[in-house]
Amino acid sequence: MLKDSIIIFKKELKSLFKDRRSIFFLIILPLVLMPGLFLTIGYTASSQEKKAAETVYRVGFINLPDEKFPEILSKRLLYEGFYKSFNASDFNEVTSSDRTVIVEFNKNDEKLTAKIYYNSVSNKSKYAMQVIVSALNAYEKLLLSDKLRSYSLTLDDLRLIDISSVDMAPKEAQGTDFLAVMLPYMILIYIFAGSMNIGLDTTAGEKERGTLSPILVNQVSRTSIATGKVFYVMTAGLINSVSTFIGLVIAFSILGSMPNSGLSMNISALTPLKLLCLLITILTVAGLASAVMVLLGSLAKSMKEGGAYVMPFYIGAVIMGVATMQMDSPKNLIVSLIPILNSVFNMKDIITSQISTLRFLLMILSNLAVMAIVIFLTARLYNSEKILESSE
Amino acid sequence: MLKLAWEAYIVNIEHLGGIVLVRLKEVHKNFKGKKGIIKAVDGVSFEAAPGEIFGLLGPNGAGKTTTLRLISTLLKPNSGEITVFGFDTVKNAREVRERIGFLTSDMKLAGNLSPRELMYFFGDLNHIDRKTVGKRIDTLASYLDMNDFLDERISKLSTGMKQKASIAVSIIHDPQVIVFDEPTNGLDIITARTVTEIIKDFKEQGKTVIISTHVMSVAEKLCDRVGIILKGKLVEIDYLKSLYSEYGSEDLEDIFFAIAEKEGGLVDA
Repeated sequence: MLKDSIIIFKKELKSLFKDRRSIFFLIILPLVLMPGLFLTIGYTASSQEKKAAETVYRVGFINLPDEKFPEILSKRLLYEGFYKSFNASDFNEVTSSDRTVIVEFNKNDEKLTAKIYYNSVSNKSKYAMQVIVSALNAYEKLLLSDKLRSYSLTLDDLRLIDISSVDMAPKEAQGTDFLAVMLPYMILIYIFAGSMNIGLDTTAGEKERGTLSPILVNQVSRTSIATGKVFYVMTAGLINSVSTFIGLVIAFSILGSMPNSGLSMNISALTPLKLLCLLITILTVAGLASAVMVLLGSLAKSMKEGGAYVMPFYIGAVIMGVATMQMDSPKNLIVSLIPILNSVFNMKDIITSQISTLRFLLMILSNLAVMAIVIFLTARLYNSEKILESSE
Repeated sequence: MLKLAWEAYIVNIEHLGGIVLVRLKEVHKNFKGKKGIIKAVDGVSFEAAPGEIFGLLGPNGAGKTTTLRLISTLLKPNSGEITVFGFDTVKNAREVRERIGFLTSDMKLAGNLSPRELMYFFGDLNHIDRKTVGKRIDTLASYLDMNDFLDERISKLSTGMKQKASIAVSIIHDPQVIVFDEPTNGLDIITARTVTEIIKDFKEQGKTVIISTHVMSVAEKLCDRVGIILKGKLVEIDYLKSLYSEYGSEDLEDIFFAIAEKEGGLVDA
């Protein structure tokens, strides 16, 4: 049976690799897209910040208590100061301009209040507001130290606890948190997206083209045909997700070398053992997703109908990916039995060096068991007359 | 009358030495429909001999394709028996598939493989060793005039070339029985001509050819014998010449409508 499955598998894969568009979308696009996407995000964010920092703002002061605050602010923000009367019409400028901010001071019972008027729609205005907040904090410290001086005290005298934090995560796990957030999500999306089109084409597409019947009138068993197609779609999904993974690693390597990117990653954390575990995890997800896609595509009478069948699963994968992005891996073993979800958490565990052998094995067993059930159902479908139903 | 025609045919078969490659005996096939059970094939019986082209004629939905799919082991009858070379299509499906080639004009080859690669693929599906398939490819390429595009991608071929490639992959295992569903449906005049010539050649080679068609002119050109199928029932079966003399017309379409009228018309009550 395996020999016959390989006949189907080899033919489909050969056809796939002879198609330049498929190679581009499966292999080259993720390799280019991932670095391109993250570098664009990184570059855009840093250039926006740079632009905001280089902008000369107009900062209005109302009831300015003294000249110390403008002095502190001038060390942090390029601005032209101006004084405003407390008139509502004066605030229109804040709304209409992206570089005008007003700070209103008031003094009640020896307590100073500061209110910042800014425009949240403008990134520059938001930046100015944040810088003013930090300048106000510095100004507050200055006022406080002046006051303490009259009591012969300093700010340090008030600091009773010297706070510091030490990262006790394994050295190989440090600096992997961003990859642990992004990788499972990206892999999940790409596995489903990659297997969806190919899975539909080899099943519902074959029905539409009328090429399924001649394949069924041959010496290979229908179970072999079904499993051959699952192997093929699984391989395509795996190639797609491995390319995505490599693309992400390239993206983070480049980002890590960029100054102030904030999206760096400890590439050396990905040891050969971790890569192997990741590959096994991705393989089980690709296998399961492919089996589901082949089953749904085979049930459909046309590509259009197949698209409607698989779309909820794709959307489900996207939602699962987004929902688990910021979640820590639960230690509950029941989660390890939930297909796909278990793989998402295992990928996080592998990257952050928190892998548990038991949870890892449970994930493999669970995914393989569900995949076997789906392949069994697909084989049953191929052995029934329903497989011939098409929209023609 | 059907009974008489059947008996006359049996006499003829016996005259040829009694060789029957395909035999259908009281075959029934039902499908579940929205309004209940649909009798797609209702007690169909016929036989086909070597070197004979047998045509199943009928309107769309009459049961032609279902009958051909039953012969090709794609479907299983609810009752009755179908044998090909004496092998039961249900119990000995593999043996039947070894001897049968299933073609349909609905088959639209696509993709990036060449006709040669597809022929090797279908050879593998039939468990034929690669050396034998290679020889068979050479024979078919010459016979179907495919040498110029044997290694071109299917997606770059014309409709006629694709049709030749479809025929080639379906008969790569050199089957003795060819089942061809609507052979000229949707084809342009040149490709249709090529296909009809190939079918005639199959007959010359002594193969049994069973076709289904709703185009009477195709049946007139190709078939030795025809069976007229209406609402799943085979209402007439005879040699073309016998039908012409019996109905006093050489227009198969007129004969078809006369038979349909006699059977209660083509439209469901």
